This record gives sequence, C-alpha cells and structure tokens, in this order.
Amino acid sequence: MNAQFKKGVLELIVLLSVTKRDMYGYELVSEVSRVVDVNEGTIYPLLKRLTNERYFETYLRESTEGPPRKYYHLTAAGILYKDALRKEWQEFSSRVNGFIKESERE
Amino acid sequence: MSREEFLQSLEARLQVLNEKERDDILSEYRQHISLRMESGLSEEEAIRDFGDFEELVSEILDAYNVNPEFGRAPQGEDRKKENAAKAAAAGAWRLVSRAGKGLGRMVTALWGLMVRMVLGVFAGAGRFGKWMMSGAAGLFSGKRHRNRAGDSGFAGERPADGSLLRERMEETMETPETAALPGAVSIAAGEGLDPAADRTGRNAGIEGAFSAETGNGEPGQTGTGGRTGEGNRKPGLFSRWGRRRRRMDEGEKRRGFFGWLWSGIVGLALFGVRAAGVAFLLIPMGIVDFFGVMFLGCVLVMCLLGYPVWGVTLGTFGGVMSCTALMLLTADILFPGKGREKREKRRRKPAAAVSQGETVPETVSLDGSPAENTGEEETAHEA
Repeated sequence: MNAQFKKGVLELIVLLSVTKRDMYGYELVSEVSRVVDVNEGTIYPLLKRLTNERYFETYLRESTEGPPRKYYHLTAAGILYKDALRKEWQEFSSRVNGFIKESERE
Repeated sequence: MSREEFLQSLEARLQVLNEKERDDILSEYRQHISLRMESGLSEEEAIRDFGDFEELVSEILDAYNVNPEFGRAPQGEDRKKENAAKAAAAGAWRLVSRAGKGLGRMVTALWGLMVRMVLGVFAGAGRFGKWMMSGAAGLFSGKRHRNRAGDSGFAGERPADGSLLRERMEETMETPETAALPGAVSIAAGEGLDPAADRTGRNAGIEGAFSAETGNGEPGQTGTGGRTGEGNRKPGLFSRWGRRRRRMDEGEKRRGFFGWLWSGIVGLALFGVRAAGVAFLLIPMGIVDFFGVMFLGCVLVMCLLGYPVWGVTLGTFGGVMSCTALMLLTADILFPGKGREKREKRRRKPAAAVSQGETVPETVSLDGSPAENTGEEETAHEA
C-alpha cells in the first residue's frame, strides 16, 4: 500500500481505535495493524504526538502479565478532533471516489 | 540488532528530548519488544517490524516538533565532507608538529651556536685584554732601554755591568764640551766634571743613568724608575722622545744651532701634547669623577635610609672606579714613569740619609755643590 495513503489515514484510525475503549501501546498497534499495514514503530511516535497535543491522556495500569502498562485515553479535545478528522476524511474520500467513478465511466 | 543495542541507539538519538519523555519512549519500545517476543517472535524480528531506524527517530522527533536532522550522523555528502575535513585537520596537525620539532631543533642549534660565539668572544676579549695590558706595561714601564749614542732609540741590549754607561760617561768626559752638556747631573767622585746648568727639555734617561751610577756607587746599577734594563723591551713612546733628545744632545757638538732648534721644537711639541691632555682629558675626567663621588655618597646614604637604589649605587661606584682608572691611565700615558720614579726615590731615601756623611756625595746639584736627597732631584730628573 502506498505509504502516503497510510500515513494520511493512520491518525484517524488511531483516534477511532481509542474511542471504543482505552488501550495500551501494544494493543493499539495490533488494532491499527488490522486495518493498515504500517511499521509498528511509527505508531508510538504518533501516540506521543497526539498525547503532546492533548488529544490523549495516559495512565498506568497494573498488569498480571508483566510490568505496568501505559493506557491511552481519548480526551474531549481528542474526541472533537477525531470527529472533525472523520468528517474531512468522509468528504475527501467521497470526492475522490466520485472522481474515480467519473473517470471509469469515461 | 539486539534489543539493548536498539534501545541504546535510540536513547543516543533522543538526547535532545527531556529525560522523562525519553525514558517514556524507551519503556514503550521495550515493552513492545517484550510482548512481541511473548507472541513468538525473536528480538531481531520484533525490532525489524519497527522499520528503518532513522525514519523511526525522525518520526519520534517530529512528534515533539524537533528537527529530525538534529543529532543525526552525517550521511553521504555530508559524511564525505566531514571525513575530508577531519583528514585535512589531521594532516595539518602532523605538519604543524613536524614544523614545531624542526623549529625546536633549529632553535637548539642556534642557541648552541650563540653560546659558543659568546664564549669565543669572551675568550678573545680576555686574550686581547692581556695583550693590551702587556703592551701597556711594556709601553709605560720603567724598564727602559739604554741606547748607545747614535742608536735609533729602539730595542737594544744593556750590558749587565753598566759598561755602556761608562762609555758614555767617558765620552762626555773626554771633550771640553761635555762640561756644558745639558743633562749631566752627577759625576762619580773624583772625576772633576762640572754638571751642566741647562735643564730645559732634557730627558731623564741618561740623567737617571748617571745619578743611579753615582747614587749606588757601583756601576751597572740603576734605581730610578725601576730601570733595571733587563732586556729587550721596546721603549715607550715618550721615552723614545727622550732618547731622541739625548741623541740630539750628544750630537749637539756636531749639529750646533739646528740641533738645538730641533730639540726645542720637539720639547715644545711634547709640552703641548701634555698640556692638551691635561686640559682636555685629565681635568674634565677629574671633574666628572669628583661629582661621581659626590653622587655615590648621596645614593649610599639613600640606601642606608632604606630606599631601593642599590642598583644605582653599584652603577655609580663602578662608574667612579672606571673614571678613576681612566684618569690614572691617561696620566701615566702623558707622564710616563714619573710615579714609579717617585716610588723608587722614596724607597731609597733612608739609604741616602745614611750615606750623607760620606765624602762622596750621591748627587751634585746644578751649581756643583752636593745636593740633598730631596724631591728636587726628582724634578731635576724629570724635567
């Protein structure tokens, strides 16, 4: 898959993933990998950036399987950003799909 | 790449970040690798899933709005340039070190050369000084030659038994003119010769010889001015003038008026030289020396009072000594042998006083009467 496509949609997917429930890094990487095939290392920087922009909050939760894990929680600003990003994606994708159909029709 | 290597490299690249942030990032990746390993992957496979390391670092730094090029090792052209710069710097440093070593060797060689030159100069100066001293001693010493009549006045041997003097005396005694011969101061007892009355501009050589002859009562002995006539020393400049006058005196009977004229001219010239020397050398040096001594006293008092003028004091003392030595040298040049003659006379005064009662007077005055052994003899001899 084109890396630029993946890079553009990766942020939306991450935000949508955390919307359902709080996740820790490895879990979130696994969830995103189901949708797009990206380098797992690149997700952590994205998480860090979204956290720095106050779209995510992090907290530690004890784990029975190992050391404490850091969970990511979508903040109110994150929710708004997620909704705006989803709307933009829908409009963008519909226009692109329409353009593709028109191109195929011709 | 192992997990530790990956984490260490990542930590090194993320030094620009806050320590807390950096530890947080490293813990996440460490945990992710552990979980991947628990799912069945190896360390290398789990790390490989992270993708390109440089891209990963760039994305992490970008998340913090940090220039991804920060801290990145130079690549490609940049690395070539850096390597070239490093090589150039190393080459320049080698060149500088070699130049420094060469310069050090050159400086060492020059220093050794300078030291040898200085030592050679000092050695040469010492030898030159000794040569000058020996020349000056020979020039102004009282050991003068006794020349035969008509000799050129330069080096000649003096017979040890004084036969030369006897010959002169006999020559002067044989002719009637010898009665008026200037410079004939004293005669041996019983000879019957009258001394000459004219003493203008005559040398002390033959006079001293005659007086020494009669003073000691034995031929061949001289005492005036230390003129033992030991050997072949060259005569001094002014004593040469004296011998020339003596030859003139001895040849007066042949030359007559012109001899007298020449001797007068020479005497006047000698007098003029001495007068100029006294006026333009001795007197100014004396004045300078006087004021130098005064200044030396002042700075010495200041030193005793605690002022830091020891250097000035030493310098002034050295200057005064130098000026004094120069004055003595000049005086010795202008008036050769006079000091030594005086000292010899003073030494022989007790012996002369003992012989006062003898029938044969030691000296005869200008008018023929026995003269006392006083300083007047010196002036008579030294005229």
